[in-house]
Amino acid sequence: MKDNKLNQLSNESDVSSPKLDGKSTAVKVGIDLGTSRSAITTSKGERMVMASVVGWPKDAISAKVFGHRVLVGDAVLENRMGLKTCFPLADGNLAFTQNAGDQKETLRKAGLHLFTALRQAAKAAEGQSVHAVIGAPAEATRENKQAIIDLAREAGIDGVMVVSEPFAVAYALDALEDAMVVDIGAGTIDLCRMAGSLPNAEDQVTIFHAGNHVDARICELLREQRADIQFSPNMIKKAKERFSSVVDTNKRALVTFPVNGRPTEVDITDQIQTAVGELVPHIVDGIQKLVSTFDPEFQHRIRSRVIVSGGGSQVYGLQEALEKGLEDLGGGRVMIVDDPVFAGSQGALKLALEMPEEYWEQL
Amino acid sequence: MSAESNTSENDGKRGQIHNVDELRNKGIQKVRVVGESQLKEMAREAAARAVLELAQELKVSEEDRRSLVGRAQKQILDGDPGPLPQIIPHPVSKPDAQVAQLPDEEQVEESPAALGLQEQEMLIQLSKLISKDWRSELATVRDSHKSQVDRLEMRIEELTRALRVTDQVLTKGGESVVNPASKLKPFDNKKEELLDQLFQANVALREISASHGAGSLSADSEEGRMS
Repeated sequence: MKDNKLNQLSNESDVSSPKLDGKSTAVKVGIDLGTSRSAITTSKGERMVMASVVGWPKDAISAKVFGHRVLVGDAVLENRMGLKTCFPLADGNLAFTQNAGDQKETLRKAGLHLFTALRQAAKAAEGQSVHAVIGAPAEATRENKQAIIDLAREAGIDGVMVVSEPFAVAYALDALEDAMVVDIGAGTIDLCRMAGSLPNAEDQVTIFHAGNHVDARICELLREQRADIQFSPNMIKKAKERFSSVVDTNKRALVTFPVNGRPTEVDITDQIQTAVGELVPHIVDGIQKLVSTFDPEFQHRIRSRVIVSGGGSQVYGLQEALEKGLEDLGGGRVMIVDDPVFAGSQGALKLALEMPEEYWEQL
Repeated sequence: MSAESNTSENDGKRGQIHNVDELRNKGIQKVRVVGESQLKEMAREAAARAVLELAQELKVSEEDRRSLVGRAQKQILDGDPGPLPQIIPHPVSKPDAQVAQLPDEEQVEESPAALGLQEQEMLIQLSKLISKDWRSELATVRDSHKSQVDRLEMRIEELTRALRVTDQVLTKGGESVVNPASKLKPFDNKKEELLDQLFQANVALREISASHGAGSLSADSEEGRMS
């Protein structure tokens, strides 16, 4: 959320949409609402990714230190010692829809702050409308989609449409026919087969064994095998993002952890590889489910164009591992998208831009 | 061969052989000099290991496998391979080559170093395995290239589209931006349909929300999985 970070990210974009005249036209945005990170791409050419987390100062002193009543995004992770943190999304859905009482209200507020931060990232001029297409998990419930719409509107986003996240990725790549998209996130892995029409429930699968599950598994394996080392889930997450691989490589995952307070380099290659490798059978099962229930005449087509996106697609060797897994299904070809972090938000923006203006007006 | 050897005419094609002093002058401090006999020994050991690995894939009895491996390794490690019957001409360099015609039985019996029929059969299988490895290797490379080409094509399409729209914005100004959906593309009609369906789905979502109210939504959540 820092401006310099936002600018840096926007400079990385080589496929940006045209900048429209902000006075007469609403800013269109595409949002990939993720359990761990949310990405936004705007028609002004801006794009940024932020941690989906909200933090409140623990006490008056920390409030004075931070100078804000509420923090959203990466700043929360950086300053979490002085904050009460709250992740408004769980398993890809807005968590407040699955809770009750005070916790529900806290989670709802956190969700609202997250949407407010995303709206601010759109950098709309004063009085300018913001129209957003927001990606939700493939099997998100209607209740959750409605919650997304309500919170987004409450946060000042004027027009909101919700779309299945893997569909947004497919739309970004023009892979609307004969393809399957696998979007590997922290909370969910969403699969969607594309057959030239808007995917329905039968065309989509959500797997809850995703990135967060991998983190938890690495922690579990480390506790079992190296009880002496001290670590936090965030340290494990960073190590996983840096070293994740499903194949044997010479590159070792050497991470520095405190052992009795002394920084010690520990090799956690095997733990990471084991935990990440456990994702593959789940993804292959999901693909198999969608392929086997498809028209038998065209099954080979979607099998031969499996597109993998999301942060999890960056696992080293995943393409080969999935292709190997698909051999039992008669083989298949797997492609990893070039821009995994923003593929979803880019697709959502594309939908927002190509959606006829009268539709937005009706909304 | 040693590192002190001079370069020959063909070295340019295979890689260069450098003088040790020359390498040291270039800053390479540690140079291990390997003798010709050492190299031969290493090559023999590698070949013996390869035979062992390939033999594991043969569908023959354990006894036959041991016999074949023992004989092949003995010939390799003794340093005098002797005249082996040529079963497939250049099986490795020509992955698609068909198995060559076997020498007839008389020829086999006449040759002092010739192998028995069963052993020949095993060698044929070995040769097939080697060429099969090559085929799968080539197929993998082809697939990988094709996948790269596909991704690049998608990327080019995306970049071209962005460039076209940006061009229009620059030439005609922000107000006359042409909706990218109006561009002539193969998916245009399908896209229009998709956008319409998406809009209708979102309208339906709102209508249901308005008619049910927040209180009754939980009960409907199962059927609410949407498009």
